[in-house]
Amino acid sequence: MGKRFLYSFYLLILIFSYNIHAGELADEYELKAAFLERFARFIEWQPESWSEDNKDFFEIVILGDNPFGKKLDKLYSTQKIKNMTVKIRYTKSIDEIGNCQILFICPSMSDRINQIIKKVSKKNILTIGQTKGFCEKGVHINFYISSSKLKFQINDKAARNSNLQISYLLLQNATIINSVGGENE
Amino acid sequence: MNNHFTHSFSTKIKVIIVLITSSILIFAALLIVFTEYKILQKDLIYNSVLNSKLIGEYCVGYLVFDDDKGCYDILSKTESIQYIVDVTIYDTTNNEYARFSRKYPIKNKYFYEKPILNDSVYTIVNLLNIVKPIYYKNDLYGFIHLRSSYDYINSKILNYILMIGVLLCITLILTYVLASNFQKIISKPILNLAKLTNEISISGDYTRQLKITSKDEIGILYKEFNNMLVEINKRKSEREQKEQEIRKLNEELEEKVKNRTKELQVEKEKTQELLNISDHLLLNILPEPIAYRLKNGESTLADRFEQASVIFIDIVAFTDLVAKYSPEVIVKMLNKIFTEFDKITAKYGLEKIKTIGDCYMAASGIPEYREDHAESVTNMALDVIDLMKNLRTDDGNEIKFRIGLDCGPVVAGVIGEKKFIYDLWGETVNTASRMEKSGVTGVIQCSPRFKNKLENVKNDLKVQFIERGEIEIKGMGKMTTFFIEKKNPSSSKL
Repeated sequence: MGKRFLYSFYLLILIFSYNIHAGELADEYELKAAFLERFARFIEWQPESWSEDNKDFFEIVILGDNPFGKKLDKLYSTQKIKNMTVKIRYTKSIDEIGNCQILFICPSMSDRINQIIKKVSKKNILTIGQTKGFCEKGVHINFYISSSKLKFQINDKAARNSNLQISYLLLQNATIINSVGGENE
Repeated sequence: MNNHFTHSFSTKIKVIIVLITSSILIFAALLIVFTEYKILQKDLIYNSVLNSKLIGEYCVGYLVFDDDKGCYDILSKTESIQYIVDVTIYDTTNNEYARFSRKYPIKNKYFYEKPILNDSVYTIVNLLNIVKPIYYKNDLYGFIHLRSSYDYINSKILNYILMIGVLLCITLILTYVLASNFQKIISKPILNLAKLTNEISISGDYTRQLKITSKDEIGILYKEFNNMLVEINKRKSEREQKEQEIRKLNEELEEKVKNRTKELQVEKEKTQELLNISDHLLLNILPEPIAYRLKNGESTLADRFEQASVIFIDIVAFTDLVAKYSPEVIVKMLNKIFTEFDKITAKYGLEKIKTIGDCYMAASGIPEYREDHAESVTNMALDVIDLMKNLRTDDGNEIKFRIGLDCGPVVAGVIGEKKFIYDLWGETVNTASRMEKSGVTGVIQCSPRFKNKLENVKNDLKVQFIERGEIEIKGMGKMTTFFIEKKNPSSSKL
């Protein structure tokens, strides 16, 4: 009786743990998708960031293998960023980055990160990654999981090099990485 | 209240200084405390509002990224701000998101109740409540509720009051000590002044002076007091000098008055003597009542007397005597005769009227009526007859007289303003004169009415009337006249 009760308890804990973890995984990209908009609240882009034919849109480019699925499209079909309609563009080519406000660098592009950074570091584009070490290489914001919570690093120096002004309110929520990144590192 | 006036000047100064100082200090302290309390209260509100806004803003990021722990970390930083009791963050769904509450020794000292989430500042039970919405770029992220305790400023004010109270006590003690010492600066010169005044009042020595040691109001007072003493002394000397002069003048005046009084006395005596002489002279020429009336200011005197007797005595052949003798002899003789007549006149109380050359005129019954006027003139006439028997000139010749009498109404009065003479007028006077003129030497002749009068007055007459017969009287016509003789030649009176 005692053993059966103990097994049942372990089973319950396993199921509960799985559910939490599964929930976290399930919500992670939804959360990250939402975070893009929240980041935008505390970051100021230069007006030159918007090209003439794209001036009414807030453009997000997903570089590499898309981990968001349809979540981004779904979320930003109604949600606006900085009171502008959000345009999501998916590409795997560095040359197709073009003009945009946010560049999400997927983990699949980790081999070419230096090339990407070199390409966009002087542009007024906020780069966001989710791969360990990205921030140190010059990516502005890099997600990570700590204590089951989604957290992020910010490379403020790199952001300032890209003419991006990040509010202290965002900085106080992040882990600050002090490096210029890119080829200078 | 009256007790205030019995205290010394120095005590009053001390009390005044301490009272004024304490009043000002207490007022100032109350003002400072009140102002400070208001400032602290204002500061508390201002700082609480500011802190709530800042904390709210700091929490925006945590609210956005759903970091309640980070939010609590921010809230917990308010622990260093002593007056903040607790801070609570509410999300946009009005649910409590994070809360920090100061730990107090007494549990549940401040009971917490969720406020109405709006923008408000209010006080409940010694707690300042600040409710502010959390905005970032016009987007609402939630609400902050911050509670601050007035205990902090109350204890601060209490400490302030205690400090001011201690300072006030120290200041008052110092003020009293300083007032006790410094009041001498004011009171000592005044006491010196009072002392000198007292000494002067006792000694009367106005030459004393106060030593001037300062140029302030006391110095001025001393200077003026010294000036006053100098002036008093000067006036005193002047007064004494004047008094001496006055005394001297008085003495001189008294001497003068004395001398003048003496002179006046002498003059008065002389005047009196002259007056007496004058009166005597006046009485010699005027009857005494008439003289008094004249002296009393009556200018014109004319009295009518219904009954009076008049006597005229005339020396017979006087012209021959004048021719025979020198005027000195004549005057001497007349003086002798008339002096005798005056004696007789005085003897019978008659009034001598006048002498006209050798004629002697007298009257009775004037100026005061008398019943025996006829009798008295008769007696005088008889005495003159007797006198005539013995009268002789120096060379032995006999002197003879004619005597005329009458009685009746007369007017008596004084005429003229100089050389007064009391004279008689009227028919009686004329008749008496005619009786003498028409008379016989050595005989008394009278009118019939005189005879009748005398006979009517006295029955047992010692004289007899001898009818002379009817004679011509000048200016009167014929009149029967009578001689008067003594019945018994040895008797001298009627």
